[in-house]
Amino acid sequence: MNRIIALAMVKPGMVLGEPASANDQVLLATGTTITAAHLALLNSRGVRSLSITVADDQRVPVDTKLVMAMDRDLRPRFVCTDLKHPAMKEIYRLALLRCIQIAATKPAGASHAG
Amino acid sequence: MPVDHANSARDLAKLAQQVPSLPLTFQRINDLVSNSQSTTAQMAEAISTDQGLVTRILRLSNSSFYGLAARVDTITQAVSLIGTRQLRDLALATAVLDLFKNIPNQILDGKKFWEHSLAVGTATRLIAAKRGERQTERHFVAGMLHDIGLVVMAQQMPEKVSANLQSAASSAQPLSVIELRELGFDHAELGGMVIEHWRLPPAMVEAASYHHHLLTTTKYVHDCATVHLADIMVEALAFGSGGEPVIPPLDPPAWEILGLTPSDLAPICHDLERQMVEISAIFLS
Repeated sequence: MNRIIALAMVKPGMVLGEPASANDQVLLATGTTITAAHLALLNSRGVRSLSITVADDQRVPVDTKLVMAMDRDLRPRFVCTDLKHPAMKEIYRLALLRCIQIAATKPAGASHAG
Repeated sequence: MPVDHANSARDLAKLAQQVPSLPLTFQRINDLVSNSQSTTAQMAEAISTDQGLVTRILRLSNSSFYGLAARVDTITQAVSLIGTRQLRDLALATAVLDLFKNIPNQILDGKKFWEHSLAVGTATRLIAAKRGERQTERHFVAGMLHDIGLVVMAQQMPEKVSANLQSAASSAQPLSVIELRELGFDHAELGGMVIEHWRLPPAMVEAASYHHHLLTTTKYVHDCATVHLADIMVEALAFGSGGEPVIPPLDPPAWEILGLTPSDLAPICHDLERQMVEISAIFLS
């Protein structure tokens, strides 16, 4: 699974899920392990985000309690919508997924509530 | 107390008339686009009078927003590769952002508001592209301007906006519902009038006017439905904030009109996430 991450959030040791390119020039190939020098290069070439691989065994395990808490926090925002409508159901799923992804990138100890 | 509709209409017209004109640079660019005799060099020269616009256009040209195969180093190249109408629309986006940069922060968080507006613009453009439409910049601008009426309200009648936002939050209702009840018009209708006041295309007027309450009989119903869906997606995904305490309801006919399937939404969300990193840096830094 790949995730788009702002360059400022990318850390050495992360692995590229898609090539990093600028102005039609591939700077780093898929699978490259990012180093501090790479980050400096990408920054100087104006790259703002990267596709980073999150291997199955490196993925943050989903905390069921956290998902349930987020669902509880998110649901009141959708009180005026019909979550049985297929499009709204999908939008809700994507919104919940985004909340979980944002929480996974927050430093430990930070609150999940928005 | 029931709303006096005659007063509401007068208030609305007065608010729209008080909005400042678009800058001369944009008007010059717009005139050149309307003139079939104008040249690439004239267009590049007109854009070059605004250094902020030059910088934004060059950064956008080299971003994933366009994903161009060639590197764009000059405005003349941008005019040739992106097109005059498209650059006119980007100049409009820049002009409006600069015109309303100073939203009273105690009423609305300006940074979050513009992040929301830019995200709705980007999502509108992505949805239009998914539907196979060309010249998607006009959709970007239509999406970006959809809430312009709220900014005008925040500047001209801050106390009422503040009260409406609080009322919407405490009753968990969409802001436009509260505005219609309290003022007799909503920010969408005012936004449409402001865009009309600027003599911008009628599709943009309708997209702003009907982004909450779709009228299936309008001429530009697809434009309205596209902004309607984009606004709901962006509110749900929490890119910035348009001041809504709750996600506005999806109008089922709008969804039907667009002809999309739910599985189309995840790739749009993915591209939106990717492009917003760059769009925010280009327009808000």
